Amino acid sequence: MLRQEESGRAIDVEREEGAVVTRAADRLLTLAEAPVGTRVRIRYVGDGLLRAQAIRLGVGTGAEVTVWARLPRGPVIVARRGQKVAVGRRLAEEIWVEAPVGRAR
Amino acid sequence: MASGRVKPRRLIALVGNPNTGKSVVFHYLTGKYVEVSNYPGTTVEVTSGWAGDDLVVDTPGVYGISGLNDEERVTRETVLKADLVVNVVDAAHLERDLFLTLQLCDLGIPMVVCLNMVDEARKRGRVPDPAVLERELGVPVLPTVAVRGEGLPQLREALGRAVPGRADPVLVAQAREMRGEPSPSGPRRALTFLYLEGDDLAARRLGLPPRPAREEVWSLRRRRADALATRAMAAREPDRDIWRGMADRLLTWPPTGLVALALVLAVLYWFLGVVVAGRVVGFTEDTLLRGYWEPFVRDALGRVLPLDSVPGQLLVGEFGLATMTVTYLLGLLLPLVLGFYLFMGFMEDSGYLPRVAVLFDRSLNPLGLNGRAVIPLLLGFGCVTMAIVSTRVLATARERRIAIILLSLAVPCSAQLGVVAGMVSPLGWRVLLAYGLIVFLVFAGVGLLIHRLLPGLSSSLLLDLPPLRWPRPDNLLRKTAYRAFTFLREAGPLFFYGAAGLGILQVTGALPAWQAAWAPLVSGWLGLPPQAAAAFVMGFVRRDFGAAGLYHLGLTPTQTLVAVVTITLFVPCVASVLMIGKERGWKEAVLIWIGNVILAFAVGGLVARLPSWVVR
Repeated sequence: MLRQEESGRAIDVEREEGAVVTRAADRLLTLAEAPVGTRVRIRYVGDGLLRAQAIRLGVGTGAEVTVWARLPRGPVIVARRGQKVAVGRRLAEEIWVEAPVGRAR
Repeated sequence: MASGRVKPRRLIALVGNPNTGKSVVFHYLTGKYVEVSNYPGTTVEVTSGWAGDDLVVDTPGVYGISGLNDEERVTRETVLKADLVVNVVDAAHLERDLFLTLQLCDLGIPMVVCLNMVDEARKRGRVPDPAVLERELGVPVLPTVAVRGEGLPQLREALGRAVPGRADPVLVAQAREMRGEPSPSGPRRALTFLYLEGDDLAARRLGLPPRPAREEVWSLRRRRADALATRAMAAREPDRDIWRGMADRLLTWPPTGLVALALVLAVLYWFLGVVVAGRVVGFTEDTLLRGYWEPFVRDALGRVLPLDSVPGQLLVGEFGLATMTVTYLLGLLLPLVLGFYLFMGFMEDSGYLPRVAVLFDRSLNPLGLNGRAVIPLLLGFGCVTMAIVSTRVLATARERRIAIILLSLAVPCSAQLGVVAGMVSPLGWRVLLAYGLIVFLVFAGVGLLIHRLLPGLSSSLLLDLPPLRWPRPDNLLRKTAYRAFTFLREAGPLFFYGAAGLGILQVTGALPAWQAAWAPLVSGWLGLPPQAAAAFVMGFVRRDFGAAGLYHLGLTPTQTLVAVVTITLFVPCVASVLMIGKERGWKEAVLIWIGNVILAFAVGGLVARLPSWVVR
């Protein structure tokens, strides 16, 4: 489980064993901030309503996706294995990703 | 669902993700005679047809059967009743589609996988090996190119070999803990496995408390689907289909995307405004229904009873159930709705509509809507009544409410647009521009306001973008026909009730009194001739009727602008109001109605007081 702390941008990553690892803020960013063309791993989806649907469409926690396009102040389009999913800006701001896993292609 | 005089030997459910070619498979299996029906309480279309002694049901395209929306609920019910499932999978999108396949495997219902569009998969450098899938899923997997009929005879043959798929070992272990060895198949088995993955309906039916396991089970299933897709990919070559990627870039990059959309809308305008509204409706409304049908009915009825009697007036009078209503519904609305559905079907099947949703997501967010709302909003320019039904594609009740308010207030339907265009275009571009601007400002202003005032949150966009492809004409026509039929069945009766109500008001003399009551407001506040009041009241039956009544009043340009703005914002037609009542309850329908009237007159009065340089 991930949690953004009130002050600053430190993120707690709660491991299964219960140990808490604090990561440097620059390792994690929101999907809305991830540069186009980078490959990122999704670490946490904040929107509880859409979390299940996100898992089903392959953009849930743990998924590796490529940021395919980002419309100015609009949705982010991610691609994974030949499939594209549009993520609204507000949802993209609630999806925390680890970046970059590498540049795609 | 299909009525059966005969009990089917087996119930076969066709299940698959959206745009996988399910309906082509369906039509191969069932032949010509199919039945379209609405699932009780939904507008979800379910088609069924016979294949020998078996009844085949084509379910709506879904990503899973977990009741996240009406389509999924309908598909879940059908699958739970089915003796056999045919899962249609898009070979080019194995990762996406296998999630549903694995869910179906868990249910223990005998099944066959139709691995469709292998030609397209090959073109995109992704060739799945059916043998690997067959081994790992434990069910027959048949490669097909359904649109060309390839592999379909083999699929039909394979139905006899259908077996339950291999279930998720974790869930199997949990089921064993729950109640000993799970039965290999049967409705209880399917419910148990749905329950284990956190399905609320299954929990209720089994009399158990809900199980919060969804995210855990789904994450695991997602990983299994991805791994299976990787193993099943016999060869992975570079994607040779470059134009698709380029087209996709152009459609979703705002500068080019908006140009493309403008072109599409221009074609829509030409097709609906010129071809359908002009030529087709001219023929169906004037020639067929007014020319032949109405005189025929009047003549036939005149032989039985005097036409000025009460029943005579109700049937063939001004709001005649057998004349005006039939002409409106079949002569005017049906061609327009058919045209609109044809166009929307094309946008949908080609995969273009989701791209439009992406482009407009940002603009719709401030109104408390997301990109999905482009579907009902676009449909509203065809027929608001039809668009209100389609607000069910929106995820939350809040979004449905906002969309319905905007549709009923500030989206002019095609019938109305025709008359508005007729009145405004002789006055030049300034008036046309002023009209468009005022209506748009009301649309945006009201949207912003209700988003602020309504409690709760709207959902974010999360949308699968299906690949762009050319739609199949036969599929398109079939879909259009089904939808138009559904429209007639859902909305048709409402037009009759509305006309009957107005007819009764007229024969009892309540209508003239009602019109007279509006006259002071119309002449005093709006500055229109008092006779215009009649047009506003008429506008309640048919929106174009209202506007048509204004034609002959000899209005000045300013008066014309006031009249068309007020008529546009004024209450939607009676069928729309009844549809709102059906969808959102009567209290809300009445509130929207009252709100519309107040706003229409407020804005109309303000327009009447605009400085004179605006409209010369």
